[in-house]
Amino acid sequence: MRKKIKIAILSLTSCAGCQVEVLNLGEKIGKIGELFQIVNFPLIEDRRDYPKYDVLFIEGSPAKKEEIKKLKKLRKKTKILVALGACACIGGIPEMKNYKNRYEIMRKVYKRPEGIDNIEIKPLKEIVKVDFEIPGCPPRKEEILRFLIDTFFSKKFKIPQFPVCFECQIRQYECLLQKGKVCLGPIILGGCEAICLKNKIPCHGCRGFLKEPFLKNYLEVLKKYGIEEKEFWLALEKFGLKDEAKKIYEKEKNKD
Amino acid sequence: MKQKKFMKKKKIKIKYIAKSEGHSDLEAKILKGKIVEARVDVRKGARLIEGIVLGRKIEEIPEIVARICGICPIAHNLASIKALENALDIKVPKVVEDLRKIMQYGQIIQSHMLHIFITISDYFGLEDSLEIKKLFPLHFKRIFEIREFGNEVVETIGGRAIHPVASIVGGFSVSPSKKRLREILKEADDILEKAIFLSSLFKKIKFPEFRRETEYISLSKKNSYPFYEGNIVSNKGLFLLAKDFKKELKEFQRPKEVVNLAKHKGSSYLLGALARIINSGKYLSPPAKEVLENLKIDFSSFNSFHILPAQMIEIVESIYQIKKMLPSVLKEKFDSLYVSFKPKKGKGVGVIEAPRGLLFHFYATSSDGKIEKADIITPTAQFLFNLEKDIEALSEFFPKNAKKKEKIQLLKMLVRVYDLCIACAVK
Repeated sequence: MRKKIKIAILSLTSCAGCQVEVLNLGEKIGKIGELFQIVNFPLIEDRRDYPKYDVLFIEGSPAKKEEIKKLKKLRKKTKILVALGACACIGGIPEMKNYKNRYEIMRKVYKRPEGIDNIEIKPLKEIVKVDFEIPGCPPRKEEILRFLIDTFFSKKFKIPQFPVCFECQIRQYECLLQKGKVCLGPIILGGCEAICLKNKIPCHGCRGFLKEPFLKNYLEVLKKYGIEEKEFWLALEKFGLKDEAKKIYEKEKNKD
Repeated sequence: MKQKKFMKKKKIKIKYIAKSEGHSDLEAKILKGKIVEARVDVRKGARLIEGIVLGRKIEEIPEIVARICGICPIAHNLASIKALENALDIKVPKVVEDLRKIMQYGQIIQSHMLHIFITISDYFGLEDSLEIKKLFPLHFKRIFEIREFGNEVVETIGGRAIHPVASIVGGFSVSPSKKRLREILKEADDILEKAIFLSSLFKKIKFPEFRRETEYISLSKKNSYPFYEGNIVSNKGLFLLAKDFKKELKEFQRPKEVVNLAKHKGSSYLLGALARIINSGKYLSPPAKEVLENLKIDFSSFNSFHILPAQMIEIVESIYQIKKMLPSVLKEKFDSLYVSFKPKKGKGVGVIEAPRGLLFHFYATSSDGKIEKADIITPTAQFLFNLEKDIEALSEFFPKNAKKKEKIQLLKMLVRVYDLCIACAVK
C-alpha cells in the first residue's frame, strides 16, 4: 500500500467558516480521515504538530506580523499549499480595511489602539507561493471534496474558466444588472451555481476574477444599464478585489 | 521588599489551545500552588469589522457582519437586522419573525453539535475528535446527522448554510421552499429521537469537580425559553431592557489586547447554554426537560463543565421547537416576506442569544442610507474574563497528587468547554 498523503488544515485571521465548511462534509470527514493522514487540524484534534505536510489548507489571511512569519514558516514545510476561501485567495472581507484609513477606524474600535497590529491585508499569493486556490466565501464543500479526490488520484485540480453569469443564465435566474444593480457576475469565476443570484442578491465577487475579466467591456455594460462607475468600485471593496481590478484595468487600457 | 524574591511566582503557558476555534494561548502564574493572574492570550489579528462597515450601505451590513463568524453567522446576521430594523422603524410580518426564529434554532443545533463533536473526545481520553468514530460509531453518525439537519434548516430559510444570503433587512429576498420545509418537518421526529439517543452519551461522562459562583446572564421572556428576544436577566437579580445593554454591561480593554472584555458591576459573568438553562430552564419543552432530568446533573452547582450537557439539552429544545413551529408557519402565505423601506437617520439596537450567549449589535444610520456608527459586543468577548476567573479557581479542584500533565489537560478542558469563538471575540 502506498503511503497516505499527509494533510493539514490551519487557520490565519478569519471567521473559521472555511474549516466549518470542511466539517460540513459531514460523516465523509471520517472517511477522509481514513484515506488521508490528517496530521494537523487543531480545530478537531490535539496531537503534536507534524514536521512536514504534503498538502496544507490555509484559511484566512495574515492580519498580524507574526502571522506573516507563521505563513512563511508553514510554506517551507509544505509540498502543496492550498489557499482555502476568499480571505486566503483574494483578501476577503478583512481587506475592506485597506480601502479606508485603517488607523482612524482602529481608534473607533479600541480605546487603547497602541500596540495592536494593524497591517495591510493581503491574499496569501502576495506573500508566499500558492499552489492551488479553492475560492469563495464560504468555499464550497463540493469543491473541497473534489480537490481531495483529485489529489488522492494525483490529478490536477482545476476550476473551469466560466463566469457566474453563465451559471445564472442557464438556471434562468433574474438578471440584476438589467435591473440597474451592480452585479459582478460577468467578470467573476463561476462554480458557485450562482447561489446569490438564486437568492436575488447581486454577485459581489467572493470567488475572485476570471483569468481575463475584460473590465472595460463590463464598464460599458454598466453604462448601458445606467449604473454609476463608482458603485462598481465600491462593490469591489467588499471581498478585496478593488486593488487587483485597478491593475487589470490599467493593463487593459495599455493594450489598446 | 527583599522578601519578595522568595515569593517568586512560577509560570505556566499552554501554547495554542487546540480543539477550540481560533488561536489562543493560556498564560498564568502559580503562587503557593494556586493559579493567579490567568490570561487567555488571543493571537488572531483585528479585522476591525465595526470600522469597515462605516460608510457602507444599510443593505450590505447583514452579509458583511455575518462574516465575523463562520460558526454563528446567523446570530450576527439576525442581530444586525434587528438593530437596523429598529433604527429604520421597519415592522416585519409575524411569519418573517417565525422563519427567522426557526433559522436561529437551526444555527443553535449546528453550532452546539460542532462544539460537542470537537470537545467530547476529551471526556473519553482521546486526542482526536475523529476517534469518537471508533469508540462510538453510532453516536458519531448521529452527531453528523443532527448537525446536517441544523444546516439544512438554515440553508432552506437563509439560502446557504454558512453566511446566509436571503436573510436581509426587511425580511427575505426570496421565499423558502415550502416543499423543503415540509421535508424538514417530516424529518424532525426522527432527528429528535436521534438527539435524545445521543444525549445518553453524557451519562457515560463524569464531569470534573468544579465550583465557582458567578453571575449567569441571558435573555428572558415570559413563559418561554428565549433565543430570539426578551429582556436581559441574571441569577443575581439583574433586569434590563435589551436596548439598555450598555448601561450595565461594561466593556474594558487591557493594554495591547485585541479583545474588548466585559464585566458587570466589576465582576465577570457567564453567558450561553448554561446561563440560559439556569435562568429559563423551567420553560424548556417536555422532551428537553426529560433529557435534563435523565442526565441527573445539578446545573445549579456552578460547575462550568456543565456547559457541554446544557448545549445538548438546547439541541433537543431547538429540534422540538422547529417541529412545533413549522406546521403553523407552513399554513401562512409566503408571497410577501419582504417589507421595503426608505433610508433615514436613526439608531437601533439588536440583541439576540447567539449559541454562545448574548450578542449585541448597534448601528446609527444616515438619511442617505449609510452606516455612521457601529458597535458589536460578542458573547466570547464578554465571558472570556469569566473563563480567566474559572481558570484561577480550577487549581483548587486539581485532584490530589495530580501530575502536571493531568493538570494541564484539565485546564485545556475548561478552556474548551467554554466554546470560545476567537473569531467573534476579536472581530
